[in-house]
Amino acid sequence: MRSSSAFVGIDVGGTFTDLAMFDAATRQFSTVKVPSSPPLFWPSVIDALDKAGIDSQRDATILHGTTVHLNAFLERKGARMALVTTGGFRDVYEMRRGNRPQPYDMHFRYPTPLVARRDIFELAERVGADGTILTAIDPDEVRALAQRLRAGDYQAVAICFLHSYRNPANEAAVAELLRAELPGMLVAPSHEVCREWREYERTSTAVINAYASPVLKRYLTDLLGALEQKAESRLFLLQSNGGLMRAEGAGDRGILSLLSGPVGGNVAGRALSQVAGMPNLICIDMGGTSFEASLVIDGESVVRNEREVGGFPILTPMVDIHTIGAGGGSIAWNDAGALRVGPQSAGARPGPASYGHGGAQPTVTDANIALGRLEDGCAFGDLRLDAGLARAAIAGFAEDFGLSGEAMAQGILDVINEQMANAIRTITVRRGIDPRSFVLVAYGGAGPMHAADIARLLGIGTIVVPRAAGAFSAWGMLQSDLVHDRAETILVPAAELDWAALDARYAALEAELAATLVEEGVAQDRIQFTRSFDVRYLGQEQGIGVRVDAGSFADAAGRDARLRTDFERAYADIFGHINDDEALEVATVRLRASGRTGLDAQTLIMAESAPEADGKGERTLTVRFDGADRDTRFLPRAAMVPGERVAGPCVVEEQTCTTIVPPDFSATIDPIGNLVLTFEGAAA
Amino acid sequence: MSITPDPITSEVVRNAYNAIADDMSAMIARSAYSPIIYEAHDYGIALFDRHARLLGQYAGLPLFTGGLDAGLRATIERYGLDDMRAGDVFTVNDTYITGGHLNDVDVIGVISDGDELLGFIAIRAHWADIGTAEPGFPVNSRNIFQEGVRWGPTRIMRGGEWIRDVIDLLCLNSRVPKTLMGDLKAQIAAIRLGNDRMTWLKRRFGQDVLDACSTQIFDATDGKFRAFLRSIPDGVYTAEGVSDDDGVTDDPVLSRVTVTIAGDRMTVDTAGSSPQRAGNLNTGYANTVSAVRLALALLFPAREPDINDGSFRAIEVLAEPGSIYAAEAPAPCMRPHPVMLLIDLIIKALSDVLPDHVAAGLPGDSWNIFLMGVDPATGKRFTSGEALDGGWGASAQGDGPSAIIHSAAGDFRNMPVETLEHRTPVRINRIELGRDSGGAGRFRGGQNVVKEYEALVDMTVTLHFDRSKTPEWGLFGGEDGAPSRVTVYNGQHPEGFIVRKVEQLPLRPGDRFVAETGGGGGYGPPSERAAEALAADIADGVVSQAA
Repeated sequence: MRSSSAFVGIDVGGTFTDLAMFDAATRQFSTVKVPSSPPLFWPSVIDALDKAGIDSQRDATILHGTTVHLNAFLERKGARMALVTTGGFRDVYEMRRGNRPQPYDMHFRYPTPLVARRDIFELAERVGADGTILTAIDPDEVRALAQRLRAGDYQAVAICFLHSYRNPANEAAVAELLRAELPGMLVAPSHEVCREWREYERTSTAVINAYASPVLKRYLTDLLGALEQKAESRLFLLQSNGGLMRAEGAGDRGILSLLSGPVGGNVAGRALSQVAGMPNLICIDMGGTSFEASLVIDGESVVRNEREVGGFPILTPMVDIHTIGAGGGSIAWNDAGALRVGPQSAGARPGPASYGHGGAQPTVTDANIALGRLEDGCAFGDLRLDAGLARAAIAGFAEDFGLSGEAMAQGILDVINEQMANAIRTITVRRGIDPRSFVLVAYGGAGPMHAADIARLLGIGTIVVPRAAGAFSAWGMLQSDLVHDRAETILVPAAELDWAALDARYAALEAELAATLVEEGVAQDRIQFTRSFDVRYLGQEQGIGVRVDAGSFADAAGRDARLRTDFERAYADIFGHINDDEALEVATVRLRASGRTGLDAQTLIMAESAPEADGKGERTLTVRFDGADRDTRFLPRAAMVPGERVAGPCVVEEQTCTTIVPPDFSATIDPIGNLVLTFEGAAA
Repeated sequence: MSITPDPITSEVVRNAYNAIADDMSAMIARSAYSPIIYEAHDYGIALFDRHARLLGQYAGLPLFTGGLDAGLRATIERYGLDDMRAGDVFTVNDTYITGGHLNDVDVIGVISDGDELLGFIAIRAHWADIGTAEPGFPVNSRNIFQEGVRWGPTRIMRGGEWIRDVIDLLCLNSRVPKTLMGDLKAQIAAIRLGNDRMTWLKRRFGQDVLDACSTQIFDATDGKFRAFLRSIPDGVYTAEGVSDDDGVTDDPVLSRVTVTIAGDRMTVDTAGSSPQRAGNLNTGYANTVSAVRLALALLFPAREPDINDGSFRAIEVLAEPGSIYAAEAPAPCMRPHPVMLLIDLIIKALSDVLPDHVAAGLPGDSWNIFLMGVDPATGKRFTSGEALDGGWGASAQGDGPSAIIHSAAGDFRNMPVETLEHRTPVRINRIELGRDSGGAGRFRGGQNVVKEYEALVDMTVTLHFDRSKTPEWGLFGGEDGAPSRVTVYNGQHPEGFIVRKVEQLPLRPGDRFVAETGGGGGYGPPSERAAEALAADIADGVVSQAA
């Protein structure tokens, strides 16, 4: 990237648009929060830039996360599209994998497919399992198909052929012909976004790509157009893999940035990890309806290559975000005498009882305010929360259980905290990780209120509430790299691996991706490549990612043993055993190309913060902790002196969030501006 | 000492039990060797307290999970609680104890905190080969001895150390000992994880508090299931149907079920069903119990009902010893088709009194296909096993889903064509949803699967296809779904011939067969189908213009 006078991170959420900016001229860091502007959303980006003082005189690098295409997909408002398949395999997409994830539900239904059967077309073509072309495409048949697609008035067409992960020639040939015939239509073959096997999952990936991309493309076109009027700017989009890509090409491959919004927090966690010297983090974000947990290990985001979104599988690299239905709006209910909390949420209307919109069912937010953890009458957007309404709702609910309202309020928090802790156990235990060795990073609306209680359940001793916790994703974007991932499923026994050929293949891909990065403005010397293999014991399904440094390829004597050692170390970490007499298979080879941005982390960390508007000032209120009322300091974060330790209980307030420091924790501001909570042992 | 736990602790503990079972499941799926385990999720996990009461489970394959208590009880009886200690692992596969066929192996681990016995973890997974007479699943076994090695409760690990002579005995009797050990290690890794998490839970709350919570959880669940049974009018309800044949003769095999609802209790009696048969569709009693539990859970009006020791206290299952539903040694039990039929028949029996809960005939078989041979290109033996999906029954809630796994299985995934073709020298020429295969009705049954295979080398195919004589029935005027069949096209029969059960039928390169599974039953009279729904079916080619 060229030097910029401003680096701007912008995270557009459903309700608010957050901006975080580093001004290279003043070396100041500042944040802006404006309401989002559905349904177009791009006007709020311009609005935020206006408020940040970015005008036509400025040269800005804008790093952007958006949920516009994710939401269009989830709300089923994507493109009118068609799908082209191998002849005889039209129904692969509708058939899915035949499983019933809720085995006791006689009325289980999958979501309606994104493409109806009548919009799925077959072509005579066939590639064998080894990549041999058994039936080449017939250009005349493709042109005839183009006619039908034109007549069908589709905005996009996905193509997914059998075994195209192995040899995409037929898919590519059809795409080329259709692009020539149908210039206005998005033509999206599977191999351009996914080179992994399993035809249903790859088809689903290609379909979502074609379904969501036109929405993103329109949004980016509008936004780029508006920016042109605005400033000398370059726009980059955050991808699901946690890296950035140039916005200009992103609209054709929307699947790669589908989780652009949700992954922002983890990307920021990664940046924080690297600058703060905390290699292992558990990142948590708790909002009104959902709780999201993700990991940073050894300074890197944990990336998964497969997951379901909206009930459909996707095979592309995505930062691994685990979501459960637990949030401030989660409703407590009585299930035939048993207490349950969530996953249903009161939403914004009627919302929690304390909103005063007529919500009668107690929620997690109500429990927080009933116990004094939020101040009676405190502002929540345009609302004032009413503790009396919250207490009344909880007391009425508690009667059925023979509990006091206060005991029930604490109980609601205990149950929801436990669910969130279980979600974290799930993502750590499944990777063979002990959460106690991690630091918990809490951000977003409600995360910092629950972080200490969750940490205690997990035996975690340190919590970080980062600077700009309310605009954390936008902050993180400022330090992201440009990233391009490539993957190919090869399925070769490790002993038969042709290292030389593979090295050549990698070199060619690296040259291609380096050219892309240079085109995107990265200096050649700031480009890095990471080669890795998904390795497994021969016959297993799931592989483990093993990094293979470029030097290994030429080291004929040592490379096989090193691959085995690295694989087995990782395997034993997760499963506790190895199978030393079993052969290895290389399932998929991966390449990641990353280009460092112009802004380095230290610069941002050392930047001065623009002053925050004054809050209420310090005061002492009563908060109930563990069944006992305690006099509790409420103090503004800005008033805390770095390095000075404040004993719990206290409540730290800032504009965008509130952090609870229970009696068994203390709080301090570290040298780089983080609010750090430390477990001090048994409660005083 | 009696403790009354508060509902908060109780809910925290309930969540923990289920989370622990789910985490164990993820561990197995990640580390297992056999595709049928890691890809198809052919396993079930249950967590028990020291009284063998079910605390929580990963249903995976729910017919498995519902029978896991039987193997555990037999193991406790054999060894005694005093001799079951930290780091001990046991296994049992005896069909007449566990109900499953011999390939479905229970591995049972002890949960303990030091010397204190806290409970058990039982995991049933499908092992690839346990020494059957022929590789794969024999369709033609005539006694249990031809179905592989059978063992009663057997200790395989003591204090965390393998008992080598027993392990060697198991491995020596398997064609794929490495796979066997890989899958066994996966099960043990999951047990270790479960043990750590349960020990941690016990240290946090204390075992007496956990026990009291468990009791409260069981009682609450029992109350919900009894309330459901009370909502069904008292009465005696019956249904019957047949499995096609037992693989020895062509005679159909009768299943009859009598469901008696009396207040908050349900009795399911299989009296009148066929005596055990010479062919291998018999099953152990524990499997019958599991099928009844599963039918009740399917009928219970919740998407994810609580399944624990309290769920099935109100039911009684009667099966005559020596019948297909309570087979006795040495009856062969490899392919218990009537068990899947039983689940559907219980639902059918109650359809008149629960018209809004039930569905029409469900995919009632697993429609297995096994391909075996030696690949001349590599000289290596290949074996591939698949279970095909079928059409689900329609219900008051709408059309039945197409191409979905049968009622006894749950999170079982079909085999991708790309995976099958990579591992096996076979080509799939097409895989389609069968037109007109779902039973017509106000709501249409789900469509079946039509899949055409072509052999690329010399190989054999073994087929287990059932439910053509009692296809997936329609309800309340809805029509039956299409019956299943397989048509083989070879040099002698270019016009094709139909088979359903066959053992190692030879195929030459270029020979083909087309497998068609069952379509789902329709619900309500076809004349009441909404015009736009019918128009959509025609536009999508789900039904032909004529139909």
